[in-house]
Amino acid sequence: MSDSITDILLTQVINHGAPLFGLYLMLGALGVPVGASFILIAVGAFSQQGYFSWPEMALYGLLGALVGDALSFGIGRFGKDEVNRRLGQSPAWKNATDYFQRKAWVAIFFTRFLVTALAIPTNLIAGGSGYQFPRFMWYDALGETIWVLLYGGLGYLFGSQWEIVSQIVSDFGLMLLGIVLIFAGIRLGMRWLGSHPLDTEKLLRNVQSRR
Amino acid sequence: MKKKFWVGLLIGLGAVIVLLFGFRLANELRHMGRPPKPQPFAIITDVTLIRDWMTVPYISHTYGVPPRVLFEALDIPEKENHEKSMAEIDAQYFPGQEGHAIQLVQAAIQKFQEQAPPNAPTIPVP
Repeated sequence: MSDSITDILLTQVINHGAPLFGLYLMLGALGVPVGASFILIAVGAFSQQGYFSWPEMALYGLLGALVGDALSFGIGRFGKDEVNRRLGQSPAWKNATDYFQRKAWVAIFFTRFLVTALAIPTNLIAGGSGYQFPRFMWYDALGETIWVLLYGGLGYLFGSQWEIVSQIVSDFGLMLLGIVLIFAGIRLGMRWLGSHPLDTEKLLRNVQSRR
Repeated sequence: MKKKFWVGLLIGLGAVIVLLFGFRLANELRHMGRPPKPQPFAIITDVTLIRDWMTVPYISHTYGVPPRVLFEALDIPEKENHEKSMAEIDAQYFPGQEGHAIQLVQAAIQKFQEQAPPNAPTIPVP
């Protein structure tokens, strides 16, 4: 997101306060690039300066994020039939949805505050895979509460240094995304090896015949 | 073959991201100071922290300077400029002089804080 857009968003937040802040977090949860984590840290710092009341901001922010997540889950649910029509017969898709159903809470909970870059895809997949909405909202609310308190708390704690903190948090999240990708690659590789075990006897025969 | 490609891509991409942002993160953490002791509602005195997106009421609150003092320093009417950022004030009142509004506000704050040290109660949010 460019600096000028960020500047405009920050000016509007300090002018209009909690309702606009809630709206930004809702848009962020829908995938609009408003820099929700950045604004959340900034609002934490503004609250530390006494410009906003932090319980009010936390409440509006949490509500906005939850509404946004519920809507993006709904978008996934809305596209479910289309996805099933196209991929429903594919074993890979069935495996993926089964796996998601078993481990969904991990993905929903941790993508709220740890690997936030994957939050929206998780919402869409949860909706599209037929995951139960109340369960989704339960793990979502837990994760989002941690997100609001943790990120807002960092802004509150570091006050005027919030811009540096925001950069650190963003880089940390992206580094975690990289780690998740590496683990996904290793897991996929191990599964692949599992379905194609090394035929050591054949390998030995090949080596001996070359000699 | 296709699976090998995906495994390689995921691990390779992940490693690049980890290295890139890991180094950046390490560098930022090295240059960052310890968190200041939390002082709720403390007035800031460092005027270099004023940014383009800040409005006069926000600066006034943060630095403990009445908005009237800042509007007088900018020599602009208070009423219609309440919600404008420093960048917007520059564009409207000081075209071609980027950062001029911030400079005027910084000077006014320093002058005000020299006369009245920032121990006074904070300016309420408008």
